[in-house]
Amino acid sequence: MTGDQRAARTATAAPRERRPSGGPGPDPSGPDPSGADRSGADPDDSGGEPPDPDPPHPVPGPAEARALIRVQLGIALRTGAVVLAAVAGLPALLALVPALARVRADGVPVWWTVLAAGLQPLWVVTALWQLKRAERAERAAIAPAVAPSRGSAERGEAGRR
Amino acid sequence: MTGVAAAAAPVALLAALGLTAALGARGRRRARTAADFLVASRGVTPWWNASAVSGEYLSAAAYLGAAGLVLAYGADMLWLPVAATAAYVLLLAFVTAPLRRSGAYTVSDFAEWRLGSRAVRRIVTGCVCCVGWFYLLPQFQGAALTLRVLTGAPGWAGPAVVVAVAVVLVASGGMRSITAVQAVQFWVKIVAVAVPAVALAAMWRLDGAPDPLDGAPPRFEHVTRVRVAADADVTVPAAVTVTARGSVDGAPRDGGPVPLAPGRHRVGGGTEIVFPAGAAAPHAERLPVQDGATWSTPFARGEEHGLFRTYSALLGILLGTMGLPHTLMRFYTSTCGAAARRTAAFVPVLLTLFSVFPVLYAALGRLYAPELLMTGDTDATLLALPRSMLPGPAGALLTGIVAAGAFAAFISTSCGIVVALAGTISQCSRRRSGVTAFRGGIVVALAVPLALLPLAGTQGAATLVTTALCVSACSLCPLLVLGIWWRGLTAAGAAAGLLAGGGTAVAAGLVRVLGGAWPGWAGAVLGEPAVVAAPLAFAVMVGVSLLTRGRVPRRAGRAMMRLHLPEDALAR
Repeated sequence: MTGDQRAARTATAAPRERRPSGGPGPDPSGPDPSGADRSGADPDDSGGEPPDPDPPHPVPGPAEARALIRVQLGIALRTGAVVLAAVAGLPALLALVPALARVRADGVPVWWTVLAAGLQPLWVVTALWQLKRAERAERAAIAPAVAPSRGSAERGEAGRR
Repeated sequence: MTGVAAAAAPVALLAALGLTAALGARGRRRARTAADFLVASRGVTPWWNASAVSGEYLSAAAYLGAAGLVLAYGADMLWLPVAATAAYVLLLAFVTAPLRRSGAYTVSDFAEWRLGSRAVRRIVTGCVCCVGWFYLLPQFQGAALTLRVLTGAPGWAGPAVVVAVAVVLVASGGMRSITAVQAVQFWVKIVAVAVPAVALAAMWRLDGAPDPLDGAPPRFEHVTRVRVAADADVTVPAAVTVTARGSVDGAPRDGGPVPLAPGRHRVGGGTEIVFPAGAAAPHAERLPVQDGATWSTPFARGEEHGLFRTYSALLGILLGTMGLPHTLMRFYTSTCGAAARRTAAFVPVLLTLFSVFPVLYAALGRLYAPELLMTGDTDATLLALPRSMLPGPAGALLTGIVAAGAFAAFISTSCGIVVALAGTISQCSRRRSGVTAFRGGIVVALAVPLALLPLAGTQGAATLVTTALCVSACSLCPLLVLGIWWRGLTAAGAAAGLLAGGGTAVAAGLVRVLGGAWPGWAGAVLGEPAVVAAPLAFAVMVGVSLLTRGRVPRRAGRAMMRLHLPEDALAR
């Protein structure tokens, strides 16, 4: 992309970007993890329609950036929902059902074992899942024309280093 | 035996210092330019950086405090390490890559860049300082405890050592040496906690594997001599006749038998009490007396507002970790946003390696070191167990290993916080050169917690760290999350939210650290304010931003693109 093209794109993007936001926008603490229906809430946003007249171009414009942000927010909120469900749900369950909290298997308190060692693997899996999803979303956004391949991020990162 | 252990402590300290100095010197030779000095030239690989981040997490609170809390309070405290690891998953999901892409060195830089307001920057700097100071307190306290328990050194010795090492290391080597020190020290700490744990578990098997979870409150296995350092009220669970030298219940004792009825007794400072084998261990007044089933079952203590306190502590840890200034600064040393994200993803893996050990030590402590429940020094569980289970040189060796890990913990965390605070503070001063201002920042970063230390009383390390996390959860976390994900955040909204949430949390933290416990709901909310203050901060930030929506920064749209698009997509 030449400097002129980029300047032109920035110029066309600027009025959209500078307008004060009409709605509250994506609220990260909100319960809705999908993010899909927010395109309706934001009148400025044209949904999935690309504003770029030159679609195979590799550099994402503002609309594509917003789409990426929405996708990433959806992924992050889903991860957050998993974490919150476990961290909020388990204490409530054990506090409200004391009989369950006292359960023993083979003389060993079940929840003692779960809290000491059982939940950490869940966090490892969630973290790696989040990493994979976020990297994939990024690759899809930078190079929509190229089919996403699993090793490209590693290669790109090694090249930059 | 005490003599051997007392010899082990200085050796361990010297080992930790020698390692630190060697790594620091290596880094110092490389740190040539100011950029090297501050950010290690951003050439740190994800695994190496993840080790450093995990090394910083393994502070006095995680290394000593977690086992102490579980020993003292039981299963209710198992939530805290669980939440601490989960917090890094949230940090990964919401903060790391965008924050790295913003190019901000500190949270203050991020705030000024994103919102274009120097006023917000100053407020953020204040919040960062409060978080860092609350976080440094337990490191100093842990160092004081470690030296006192092992050698009988006066209380100022531990903090003096940590401060001296931090000043020399940070002022001379900067961040590069700190990254190397942190990363290596993570593995040092893992080994220092794992090797004694395996040895002690083997001893426990040889001892017939007694069940720590069953039966009555903890008992002394053998005839046990307990020395009480300062005047203390203790709860005696069952009638026992002891011999005492000193003062019990206000009467002087000269080594004769003293019958103790169940209930509360006052023991004077310097008193030595000898308990017969099989006697139930008295508990410090603030600690609950629990049988094995109660101890091992969540919410079985019937603590007042137990579920509320648990939720609030969990929320504080989950959100607070997102705003920890020294952890966030670590990610700045990654090469790019994607590398920062990988770093964050590897952290839970490394923390999982550590997570089992505090629980193991706590369970063994219930069997073999119940005197800690009487003296209230439960943070010393790791240090006391090897001596108690393995008399002689083997025990002293293990004690030395644990103590070396403990000093590695105090030093690495203190250095990380001091770098973060000094970097943040020095950027406020515009006149002096970078390195001079950085060194001035170091002094400010260390002076305040040192002044607060004598007032902090008998709070455990983990309590103090959760206070720091709560301040971060109620101020820096909302700023980062909304700043990264919501274009509509305004400077006025951020400032109002920071002042409301951060102010509430700092006030509650000061009351908690300096004052005593309050009864009822007021005490529960003051003790764990996160569930109230964090939503308050979010709500004020969003509400005021909506009221001032005409003043959304012009750069917001472009800033959002820079935060979320990979660097090479923007550079092309």
